[in-house]
Amino acid sequence: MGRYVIRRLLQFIPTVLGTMFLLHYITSLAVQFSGNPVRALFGDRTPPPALLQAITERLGYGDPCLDRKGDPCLWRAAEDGGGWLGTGYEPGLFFDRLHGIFFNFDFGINLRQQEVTDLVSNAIPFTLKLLVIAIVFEAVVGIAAGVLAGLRGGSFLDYMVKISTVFVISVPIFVLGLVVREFVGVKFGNVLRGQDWIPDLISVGVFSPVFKPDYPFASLIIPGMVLGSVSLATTARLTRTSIMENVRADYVRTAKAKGLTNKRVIGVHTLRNSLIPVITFLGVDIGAAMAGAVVTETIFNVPGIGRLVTMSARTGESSVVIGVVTMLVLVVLLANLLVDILYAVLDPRIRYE
Amino acid sequence: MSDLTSAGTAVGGGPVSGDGPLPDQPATGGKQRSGSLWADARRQLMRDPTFVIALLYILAVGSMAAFPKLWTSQDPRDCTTDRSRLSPSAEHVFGTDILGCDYYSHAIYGARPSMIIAIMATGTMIVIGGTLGLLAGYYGGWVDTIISRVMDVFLSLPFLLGAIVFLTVIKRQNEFTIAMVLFLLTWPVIARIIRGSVISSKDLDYVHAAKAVGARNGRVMFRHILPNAIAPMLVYATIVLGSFVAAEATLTYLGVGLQPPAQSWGIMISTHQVYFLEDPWLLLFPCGLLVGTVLSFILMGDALRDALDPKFR
Repeated sequence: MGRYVIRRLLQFIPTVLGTMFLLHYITSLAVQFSGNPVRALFGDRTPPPALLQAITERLGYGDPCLDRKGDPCLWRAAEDGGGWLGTGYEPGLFFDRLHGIFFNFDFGINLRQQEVTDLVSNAIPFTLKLLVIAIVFEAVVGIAAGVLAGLRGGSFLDYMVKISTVFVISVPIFVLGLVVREFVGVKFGNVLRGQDWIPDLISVGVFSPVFKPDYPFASLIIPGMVLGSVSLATTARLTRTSIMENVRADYVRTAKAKGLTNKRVIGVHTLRNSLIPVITFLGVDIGAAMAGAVVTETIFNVPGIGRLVTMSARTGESSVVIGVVTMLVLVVLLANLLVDILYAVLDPRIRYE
Repeated sequence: MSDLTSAGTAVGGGPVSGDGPLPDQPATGGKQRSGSLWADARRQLMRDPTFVIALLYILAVGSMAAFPKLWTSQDPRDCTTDRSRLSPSAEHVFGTDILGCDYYSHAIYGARPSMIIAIMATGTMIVIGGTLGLLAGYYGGWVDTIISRVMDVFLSLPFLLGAIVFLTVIKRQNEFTIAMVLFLLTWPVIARIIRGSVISSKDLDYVHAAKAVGARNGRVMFRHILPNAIAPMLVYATIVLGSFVAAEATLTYLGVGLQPPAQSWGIMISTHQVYFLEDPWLLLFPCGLLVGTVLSFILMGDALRDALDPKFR
């Protein structure tokens, strides 16, 4: 147990450093090849050199290595000549950034000098709500459909699940989101909003084509369902196969032979074992759903992290994109680490590989 | 194409005499297990209507991408704003778009960027990801450790977020850069598939035999081990082609993919999304083509998996 955890932690460190370096190198290359991003602030006007210099310094683009094309900015020549261990070099921009991230919780600032951490903390409640709705929808509907299809293989319902899962997999999420927004949010919503007897919570909140700050939870339900439907298919299929395998297992036959009711055999004996791979998938899927939230939030105009990323990407504010993605990647990596360690606790086979 | 089909019917048609089209078939008598894995798979695939339909659809889209002139004689850049957003008619089968350009020819010419990006990204992914996976699995030890850690680094970037980051900072968004970004973010997956299959087959007896008669590493890898990994790789590559077509459209929709003077299905969808309620065809045609292509690739991949997996025999 202890050895496994230590080995897993030792693997974790180079992965985090490698990912950080990858993101750092890409930003540096972008600045080196396409020039100082601060100039974008001034549009076609020529800024006074002193002002440009000051803002560049403050935004952290002043390092001389950002002028040398292809330089990974790992080391810089030490000012006092001694440097680190007498090599004449000291840790460069990359290590400065690592230091900022891990010790000061500093993920950079945008061109208007707002901290990325502030931008994210304003946006994260919406994304979290969206993710919760998506995962709950995906789990409830996916498992129910999978169980029904798995119990009656070859039935009409089984084919329905099969066909609809293939269909949902092949429709890109932005197409699905657009169609749902226009048909459900606008067309059907307009019909509902024309009726007086329907409460505003339903007609204006739930069936709204865009996010409404007045109904912070209700107007996220449909976007959340769109987000969840992407992995709904995989969940349903996984449950279906797993149920089909387990129904034939010996212990299920024993349970039936004992004279237990069908409800108990399916609901307790079969389902409990069949859900192990499904729960695993749902855990892993949170990372994927975060990426999917980028599209869903853009379509439904939800002011969450995803829209922050797309809007910054569209206006070319790479510092925000990099900061947010760095943060998300760290979260995903930590979650993976925790899941792996949790597995080792739960399943003794993993410890002795 | 035709000879494949006739071979399929000849083999599958019935247990006739011994002279099947494939000389290496053992005369076991039964209908099943008569040829090599590939001959069996081909026969099964050609009998599968879903696979044949999906293949025909892909061939049609592929010919749109390769020879758009076969499908339309109109120029998608020939636009007059006085015929903006006309509904479909005999002259303009898909109607016209907001700028008054013929929509059908735009849809035909729009197939090319998606297909080029998907094929370029998948090809690079197979060559480079496959090689790295082969090396990692065959040599093991520190080679494996280094390659696996690098794979972890790339896998830790969520696909869509990673693509947005790369394309935002690159700032030059054309077919080549999009394909390279898609390749960079997905090569570890194929490397893992190959690595797993190499590890499982490198200790088999015939590999030891090949080494014992003095085959060099390169020969053992490419002649004896790699053929085992071709089938799972082919299945994955087919499915990934579909997801790359979808990814290109998604990135374009988000504003970090191809930019408007270019022609692609993603651009058609993102430009016309606001006209959905008045002129739904402006969205339905590109969405239909896109979904059809992705669906066909996925169905082909599923059928290939069933046909190539000996467990289903």
